[in-house]
Amino acid sequence: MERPTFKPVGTPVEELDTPALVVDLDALEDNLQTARSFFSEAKIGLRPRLDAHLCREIAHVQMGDWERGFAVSTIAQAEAFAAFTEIEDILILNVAVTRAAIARVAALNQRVPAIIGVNSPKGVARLAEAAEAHRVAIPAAIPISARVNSIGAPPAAAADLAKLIERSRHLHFSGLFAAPTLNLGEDDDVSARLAALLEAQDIFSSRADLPESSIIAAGGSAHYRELARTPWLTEAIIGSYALGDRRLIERWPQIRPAARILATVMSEQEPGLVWLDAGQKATSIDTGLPMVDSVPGASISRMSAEHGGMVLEDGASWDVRLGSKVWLVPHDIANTVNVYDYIHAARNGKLEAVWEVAARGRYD
Amino acid sequence: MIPAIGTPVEDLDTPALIVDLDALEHNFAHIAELYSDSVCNMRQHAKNIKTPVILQKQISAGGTVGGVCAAKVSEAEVMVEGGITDILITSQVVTEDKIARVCAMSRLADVKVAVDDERNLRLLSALSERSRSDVGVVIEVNTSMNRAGIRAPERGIDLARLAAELPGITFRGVMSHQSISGDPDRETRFIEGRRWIQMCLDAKDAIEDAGFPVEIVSTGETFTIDVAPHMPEVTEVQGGTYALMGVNCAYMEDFQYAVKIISTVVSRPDDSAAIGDVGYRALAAPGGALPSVEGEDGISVDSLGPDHIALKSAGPMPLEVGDQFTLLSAQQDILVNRWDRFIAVRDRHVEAVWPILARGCHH
Repeated sequence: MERPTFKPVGTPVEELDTPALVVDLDALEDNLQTARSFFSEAKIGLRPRLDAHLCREIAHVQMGDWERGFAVSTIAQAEAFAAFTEIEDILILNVAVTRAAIARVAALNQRVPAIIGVNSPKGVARLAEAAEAHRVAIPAAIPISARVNSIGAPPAAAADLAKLIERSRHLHFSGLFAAPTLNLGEDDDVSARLAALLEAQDIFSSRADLPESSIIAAGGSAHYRELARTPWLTEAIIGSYALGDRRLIERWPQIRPAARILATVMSEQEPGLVWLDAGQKATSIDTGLPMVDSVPGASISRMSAEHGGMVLEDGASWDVRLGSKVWLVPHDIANTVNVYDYIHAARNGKLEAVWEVAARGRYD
Repeated sequence: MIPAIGTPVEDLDTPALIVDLDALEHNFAHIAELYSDSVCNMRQHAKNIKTPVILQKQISAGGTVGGVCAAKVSEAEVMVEGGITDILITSQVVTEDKIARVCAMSRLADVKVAVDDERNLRLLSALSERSRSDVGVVIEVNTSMNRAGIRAPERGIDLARLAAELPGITFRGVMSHQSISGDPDRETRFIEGRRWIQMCLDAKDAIEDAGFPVEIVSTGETFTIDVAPHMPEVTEVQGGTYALMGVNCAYMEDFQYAVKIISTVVSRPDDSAAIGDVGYRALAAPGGALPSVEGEDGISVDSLGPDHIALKSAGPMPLEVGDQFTLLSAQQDILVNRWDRFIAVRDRHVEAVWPILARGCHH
């Protein structure tokens, strides 16, 4: 577990023990409002992805009039947020396959409506069995994808699956969501995902024998414009808009980098190059390197497990020396909160609260 | 979910991080034998394992200095609380908060910390003296990484001289860390490893020639595990990955894969594709490094998402929905840092569940 030297409320954030994950509450609130305004204008509901911050306190401030329940990526994350009695429902953007996993989904539904993805007739049968055994009604949604590197069912298969779900007395058909493709390091092709979802949706709207979808959803904060231009969606599933990250702020300029990592210069051996105490273990770099937010002309050149190398562009100058503090904006916030146990919540540069990242590491 | 002792691997909730105890013990026994007649001993890096019980197993197995390296102060604290009393912190500790923690730790264990700067030495000395502590310092020498570490042996003399003068700190020796990329053969490993370790020894010689005895030469890593014992002035090797192993060190054929990830197929989109229930959030794929599928000829990793992995097969995909498969890590120490516990397995049954106590200890 992360073991910082904790500081009292009111401490200036630059005095926090480093590396520290610090969230500016004003920026967080601005981001929530930005997304709310944007999607309410487009008349598309908003379903925040809690796996983008994994923190109950942030989920709490995120729930508003325009938000329609939450989304997570694993059953264990849903379990971590299930104590939220005010949750309307929680959509698990995944499928449950093993008997143990399905039993957990059934048990979860005794506490909170937890919608689970199902992508095969066998999956429907197993889910129905578990629902009957636990005497609960399980809401099920179908992930849709035309690509093979995804958990989605092809659009043409959705109709039969939906009929199977509705035929089971213990399952309830919730709708359809666009399954993301697995494409580490590549740009997510949102138009292909939306095209596959529309193909499935067209089948549903043209056939009277198919159940109605209360959810027709697709996601990705970076695709906010495309999502808003898709009026047949009932909701947009977005996550990183709350805390922001390097990937997103380059695409959605109104989103502020609310979450940043405070690091300290720990070695200074060459002009124009210093090494920070934050490396790959303090800011996950699976999708890319973080951005330096506080030193003009500086960038992260490479990161090893424990060290981050910061360089100065040619011709620039800096006032950085051993012990200096540096702010980094992570490339992928969801993947970065997962390596922290604590979020330092701050306002006007002062520590206001320390929040637990309660759903981190919950992969199953 | 935490499994009961005796649970078969087939019944584990997935994804699960397992450590194969036979492979782990093989790797530790190999080190004990390799260093049995050597001045040089292993100082295993805790950053790769983060679990005192496993590090204690290695110390008991032999061939070690009786202590470990730790990358960070908080990681070192977990090791000391786990009963390990000889620690080398391989990063520079520059803030007053953390130096205070190092000073406190030095009353529980023999603690040494890497240094490369006079200002840092003066701060360490002042705070250590104030708390009436004695902190060991080891000068980091840059060899191949251009990261931290002094760039010339003469700088080592200056630092050793200052360390010897200042109260509250004791000059103990030198250290360096090297890296090699790709899939080097034995000859390349030996040539490159010797060249870089010699740079650390050159600094050691310069410091000794100036009149400051060097007790510790701590260098080496997985790729130089068998190189360093042939360099008689090296006293210890900071081995990391070899203990649990990762595919990036597959060329070190004497070691077996001890850490593995168990995943379950959750979808079969077509005849040659399968989707598993673990992605880069749990596996870690820095720089796009993909894991490998163990023991399934013809199956490779196609891509990763945050929570899923796409597998493809040359012929028809033999894995069905619900089948488990096993992955080997591409970046072992980043992987371990993403998990809360090891499920220790022997003969495909759970023998123990060990919390990864220093997971997240990046302070």
